[in-house]
Amino acid sequence: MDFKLSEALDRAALAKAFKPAGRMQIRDFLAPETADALYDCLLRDVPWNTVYNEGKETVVVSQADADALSPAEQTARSQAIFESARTGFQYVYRSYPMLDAYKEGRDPGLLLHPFFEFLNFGGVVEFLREISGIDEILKMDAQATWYSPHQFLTRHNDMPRAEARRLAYVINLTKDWQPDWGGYLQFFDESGVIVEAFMPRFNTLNLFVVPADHSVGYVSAFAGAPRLAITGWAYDA
Amino acid sequence: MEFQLNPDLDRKALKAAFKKERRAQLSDFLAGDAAEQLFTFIATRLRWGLSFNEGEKAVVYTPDRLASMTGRRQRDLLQKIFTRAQTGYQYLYKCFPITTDPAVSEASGEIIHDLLDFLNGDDVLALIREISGEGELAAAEGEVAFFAQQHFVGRHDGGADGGSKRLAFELGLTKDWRTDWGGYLQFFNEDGDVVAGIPPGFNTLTLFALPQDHNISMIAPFTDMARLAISGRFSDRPAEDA
Repeated sequence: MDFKLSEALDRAALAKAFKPAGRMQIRDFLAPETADALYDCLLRDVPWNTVYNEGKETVVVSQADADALSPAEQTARSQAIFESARTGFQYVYRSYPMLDAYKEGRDPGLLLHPFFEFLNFGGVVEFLREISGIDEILKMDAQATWYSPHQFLTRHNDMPRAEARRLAYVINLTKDWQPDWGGYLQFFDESGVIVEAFMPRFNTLNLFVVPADHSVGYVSAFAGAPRLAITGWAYDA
Repeated sequence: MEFQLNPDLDRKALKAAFKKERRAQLSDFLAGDAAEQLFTFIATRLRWGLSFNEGEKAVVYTPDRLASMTGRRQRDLLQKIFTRAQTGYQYLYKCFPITTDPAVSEASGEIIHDLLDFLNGDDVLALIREISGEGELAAAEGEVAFFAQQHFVGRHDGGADGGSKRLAFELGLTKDWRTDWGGYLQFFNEDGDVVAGIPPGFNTLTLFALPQDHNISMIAPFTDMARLAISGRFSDRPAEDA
């Protein structure tokens, strides 16, 4: 597969639009064939894990292990996650660790591996430098994500390991989303007001300077599609 | 009880904000401890009905009907509401109507009745006319709304009644809310992105022009706190004629 960015991107105009707020959603980011192929891969081919945190620790549960849980165990796990989310930082969603999987040679043939190379060596790093004006950007990491109803990522600012992180990005590959389904990429000011929130939208690049207070809103019980994305950070070291 | 406006509201700044954004937030709206008294009454004394829609039909279950529902019937109802919400406009929350209906107003207690009089009084209507530039506003109507887990109001523009409703308002009576619990009053651009989201607050009146796309985002299942508010509309004509 020959991955490409869209040919229609006006880099000068995008850089100008990015500057004031340090965040934006760029429409029609990838060439249509690239976006379609990634969508199919995320929907059908990725061996997902469910990830959530217990305090500062990340818990990774394979689909096989998740399927082996009894309904009572699943309910207990959800309730523990919700209880922790009531007062603290919490996330739960499905993930595929693209950087680690690439390095370890997992799942040969998965389209995400060549796409990971494309992100780092196919002109995307240069694109991010142009849009953000941050010339020091050297590389990107990546994970694929799938949010189902009741999943979320609470408000945080990416600070703990932010030293080398310069930009956060979300290549959103969600189709046919509705506003009331939640799952928006939300940005906050200090008082907790949402200053802007981007709807999950197919083939968009959501880009923002870190640190920035943000979250992925709770996905409603009645969301009718998976919220699919490839997301990570761009680093200067 | 007697309600009074905060005398220190910066009307000029609010007017400018409203002109620019078609919405404004009036912090510390009620003077003194009125909001506290209102909060205490609402949080401890009201019996709630359930408000939701079936397509274009507004449905209100009375407190008695709601209380008599088995857990299973409540879950079935919720499932039907969620199924409709996936593809269409939907809302769900607990409510107590504020009306001049004697039977309702008797049950609501004096404080709610007094609040309705206050919102329809000269001081408030003059203030709202001044901030909004809507010189014809003549009446307010509303309800007390209690959003619990999984409650929400779908995106809509609030302007479907033929034009007499000019402004919507929400007087927040919610304390100690956390961002991730949801329940934001969100405003949308025509593409469906959020241009502003206001967290539940206490004694803050949010005023916005209609029609304007907005929703109240779903309350996450991980809070047992109540998002309480008085919400309603300011109209050109007295409520009973509208």
